[in-house]
Amino acid sequence: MLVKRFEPLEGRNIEIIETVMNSAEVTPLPEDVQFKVRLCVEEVEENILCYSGSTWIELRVYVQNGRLVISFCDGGVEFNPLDKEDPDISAPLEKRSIGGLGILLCKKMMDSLSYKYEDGRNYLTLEKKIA
Amino acid sequence: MKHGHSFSAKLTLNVLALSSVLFLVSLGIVSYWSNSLIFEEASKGARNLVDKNISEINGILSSIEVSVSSNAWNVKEHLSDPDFLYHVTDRIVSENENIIGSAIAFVSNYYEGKHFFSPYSYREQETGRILSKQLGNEDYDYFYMEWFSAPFESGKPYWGEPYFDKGGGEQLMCTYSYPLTDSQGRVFAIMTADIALNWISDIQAAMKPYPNSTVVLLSSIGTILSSKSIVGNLGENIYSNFENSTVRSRNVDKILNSVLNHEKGLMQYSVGSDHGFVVFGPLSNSWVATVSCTYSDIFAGASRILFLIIGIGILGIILLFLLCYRVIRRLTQPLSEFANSATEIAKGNFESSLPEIKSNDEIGLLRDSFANMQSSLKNYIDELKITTAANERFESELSIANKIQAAMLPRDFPVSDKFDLFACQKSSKEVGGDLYDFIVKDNVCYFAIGDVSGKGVPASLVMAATKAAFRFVATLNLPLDQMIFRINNSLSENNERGMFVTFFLGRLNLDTGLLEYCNAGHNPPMVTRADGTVCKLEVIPNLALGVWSDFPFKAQSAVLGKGDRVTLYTDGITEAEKADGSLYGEERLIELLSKNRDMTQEALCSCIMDSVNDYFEGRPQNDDITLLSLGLKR
Amino acid sequence: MTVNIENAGSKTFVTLTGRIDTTNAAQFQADINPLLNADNPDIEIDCTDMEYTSSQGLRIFLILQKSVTMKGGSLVLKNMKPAVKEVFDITGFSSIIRIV
Repeated sequence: MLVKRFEPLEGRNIEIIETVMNSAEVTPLPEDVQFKVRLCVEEVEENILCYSGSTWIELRVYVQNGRLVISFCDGGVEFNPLDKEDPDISAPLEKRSIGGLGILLCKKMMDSLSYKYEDGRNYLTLEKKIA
Repeated sequence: MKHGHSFSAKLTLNVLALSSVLFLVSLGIVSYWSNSLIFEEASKGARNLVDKNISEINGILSSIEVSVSSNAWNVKEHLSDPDFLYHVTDRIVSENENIIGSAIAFVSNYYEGKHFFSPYSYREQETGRILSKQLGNEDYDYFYMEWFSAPFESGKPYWGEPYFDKGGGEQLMCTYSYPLTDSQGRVFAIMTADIALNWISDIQAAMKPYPNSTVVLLSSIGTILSSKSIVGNLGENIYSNFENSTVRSRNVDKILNSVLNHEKGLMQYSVGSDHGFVVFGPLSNSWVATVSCTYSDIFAGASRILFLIIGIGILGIILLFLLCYRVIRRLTQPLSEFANSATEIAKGNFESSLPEIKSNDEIGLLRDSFANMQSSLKNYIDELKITTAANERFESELSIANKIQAAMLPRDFPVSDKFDLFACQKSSKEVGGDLYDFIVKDNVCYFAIGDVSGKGVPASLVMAATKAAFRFVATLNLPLDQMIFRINNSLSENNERGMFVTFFLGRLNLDTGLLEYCNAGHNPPMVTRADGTVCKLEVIPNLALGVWSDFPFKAQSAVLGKGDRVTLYTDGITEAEKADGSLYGEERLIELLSKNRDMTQEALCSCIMDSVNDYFEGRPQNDDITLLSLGLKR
Repeated sequence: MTVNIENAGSKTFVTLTGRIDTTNAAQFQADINPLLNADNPDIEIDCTDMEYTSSQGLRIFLILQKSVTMKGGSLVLKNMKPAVKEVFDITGFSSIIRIV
């Protein structure tokens, strides 16, 4: 299992992504899966960096039962990205906006997303079947 | 050590045998060739000798002939003065020192009233004075003498057969007769010259080419004219000598025949142990000159040299043998040392030192290869030791892990009229960390199943810790999410290795059928309803234990009716792999559960186990297989 | 991300090489600014070597499309990699931007 804590967070968004992508759990995966993983990790950590106000992120990556599990923990405000409604992807051009697209991508590209908040900590877990 | 010796000896003998053969062959060739040359030389020499002999004697003979014939005119001039004829004979004798006597013998009554008229001059032996007298008288009727009759009848000059002179000292003598003819061609007188033949022996003696050579002069009928020799004495007839002789052979006969025929040539003879050749040739007067040479003489020198060479050769070969043997012994000494080193190495002593070889030849190469082999062997054995030790450690680790695991799994399964529970496990070769556990307390049954990440002893220890945490927490009677919260924290605290456990915790109220449960990253259990429908229990996945401390697990609940059961399993079942890579999958499991809804948990478990085992088709199991099933009885 | 812009008469050919993520989104924005300023833009973007884009990149494509539409021009994205195309599909962008 990959266990990593990032504190402080300034300018480390690429580092977080690379840590996940270079882990022993992710590197053996096929390219298309890695593409999705990268995208989702980027969207999630961007969210956390931008909206949580947390000064730290903790990362857990493990593989079990044919599933890749990536779990983010941060100490920011309670922020459940799954709360928000998905943006309307069939809206006409003028009505389109960017907000929420990242999480939508994660939802679609991962097999499951779960969120918990407890004791000042946000837990966001992504799971993808890999076997 | 016998081996080493015989190898050197063998090698040496081979070398020597070859060199001996070569030596002998070359010696033979050279010997034969040189013998031919020697024979050539000898025969040439003998021929030359004979020729020289012949010409020398011919010269003397012809001088005598000339002495006589040149005075013939003188006689013819002074036929009317018979007394003058003494002067002629004197002159003949005095002019040629070889001529001992000379006579002019007239036919009977050439001069009136004189039956014998033969003026004769001779050299007196002691004084050397020349005397003269009348040769013929009643006691010496020369008409019957061969020296008169032969030329008288043939009308040609005649060399007479040698004879011993009884009158003048037992010398071998010979007479040359020269007939005088008148105008009608009738012989009227014979002029003679007597010569002694002692000078022949002197000439012959000086001519001997080899110590055992015989130089013999023969008259036309074979009378020996040289002094005593092996073929006979002076005056003896060689033919009669040989006829009487016991030593006789065909080749001697042949030679005698050729000589008798006044031929010129060279012939080889062998008489008993005597071998040689004879060179012979006729003189102008049908005498024969012969020279014989024995092979023992001719080849004496060569034989000596041959013996010398053979002697040196043998000596050399012996020396060579000794030297060779020693050198080869010394050079192949390392080989037996190598054999010793090899024996040492075979015993396991890899450090044994090799013989010191500095040469750049094959022995040096052997040494280098040997040393290379030795160090490779040593390295290989060292690595093998390490690998074997590691394997043994691994094996023992494996067995420890297996033992821990086996000890962790309870086997006294509860059966009551309300419910029954059964669990079983089959480990794969590589010990994973599957666990199950259950506690029945009053009317509640706690049960759990788990799958530890990693393998070997560390996984077994985490499994033990998880089980201990479960057992402890089960005594506390807390809500399930708190129970699992605590179990999680006890694992997360000292989790340096990053191990985690997927876990399913359940609590079934045996009276009410309330099933409280909390999943931690594990695959959801199957619920089989009494009517046979099977579905996956709906679970919030949460996260595996040991990932986040203080993670807020969320528990859930469901209700089981009578005849329902819940079956927990690890992914070793659904991920069981056939040879072609296809997996057992959930469908098969669901089918089994549905078909066998009325089975006891024990029967169900063995049914599922058998099914999975069969699925492997003899291939090794790839992961631990764990099952736990509990159900409310109808 | 390398942006290569070529004007050929009335058409503009753009070639994108590399990835668009949060780190270089701002740069990407700056690079395509010239396209936003043109009148009647007829833009063709070759995405053969576009490796990756996150929602940040999408945002910029959206702005570009809105700008082009307002000016009555046309925008077409060509030769997109399947993985990237999926991103456009999931977010429904394939129906607002012409992708061939």
